[in-house]
This record gives sequence, structure tokens and C-alpha cells, in this order.
Amino acid sequence: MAIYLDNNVGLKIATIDLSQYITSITLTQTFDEVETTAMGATAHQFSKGLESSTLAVDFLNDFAAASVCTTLQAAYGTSVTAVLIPVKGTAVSATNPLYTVSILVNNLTPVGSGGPADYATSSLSFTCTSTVAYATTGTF
Amino acid sequence: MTYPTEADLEVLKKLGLSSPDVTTTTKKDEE
Repeated sequence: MAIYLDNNVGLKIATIDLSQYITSITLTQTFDEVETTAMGATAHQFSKGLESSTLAVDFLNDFAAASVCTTLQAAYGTSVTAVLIPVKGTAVSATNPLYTVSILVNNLTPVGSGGPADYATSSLSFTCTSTVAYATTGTF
Repeated sequence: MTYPTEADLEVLKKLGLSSPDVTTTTKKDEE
């Protein structure tokens, strides 16, 4: 796989496939930079600290059974598993890796945002409570 | 990490679903 159109990202939260409700998704992998500058240094020195990733998702709201709102409401206040794949429907491989991470569902906008002319949406950012597992084998 | 977790299964229980739509797999960090 080379470059790819970003129109088929897969996302499961707590094993529920919510891909069809996503309008935007960003997994940002990061870790703390812990300063380790000591005497004699001529520049700041940093070492890797704890991982501190985030998952930002824009959803189209839907209250149907096992859909966006019901799943997130059931997960509210807990850390559940999020599984992401760049191209859903294509086998997991080195060119289409699988990302698995725990997210703390600590914010919801169930009524959604938008106006009279819009579909209700939710723009949510979840803090990751585990390292991001990267796999080149397995299934979505 | 092992998936699904107890928390995942609890969500499914709240949703009235008895089993996840994936098989249990274990993935290892590749740090």
C-alpha cells in the first residue's frame, strides 16, 4: 500500500464497530519528555517518560442500539479498548497496521453540537491510559 | 495488550450484547 485516501479508517470501541459514524479521527502518539539536564550540560537534556497519547474522534450522533451514543454512554467513566486500522476491509499487515489502546471515556456530548441545518455531531478527545500497541498481524 | 478487557465486556453487557463481534486476540507492544 502506498499513500491512501483517508476515507475508510476503522474504529472499534469496546469491540463495537463505530467506523460508519466517524467523520474525522486522529490518534496522536506521544510521551512525556523528562528533563535530565545535569551539571556540565550545554543544552537541555530530555529522556523518554510515560506515554501520554490521545485519540480525537468526530462522530455523527446516533442513539440506535449498540451505536455511537449508547456505546459511549455505556463506557462513560471507564477505560475501554479502542482498535484502529488505517484501511478497514484490508488485511492487517506492515502496510496496514493495527493500533490497540485503552482510552478513558471521560467526556461526552450526547445532545451533540450543530444547528437546525446540521446533523448532530460530537467532537471528542480521549486520553489514552495504556501504551499504543502496534501490530502487523491479527484482525480488526 | 489483551483484548477485549473486562471493561469492554461490561460495556457489551450494558448494551445487551452477549459476545463481542471479534475473537479474543493478544497483541504485543513493539516498543
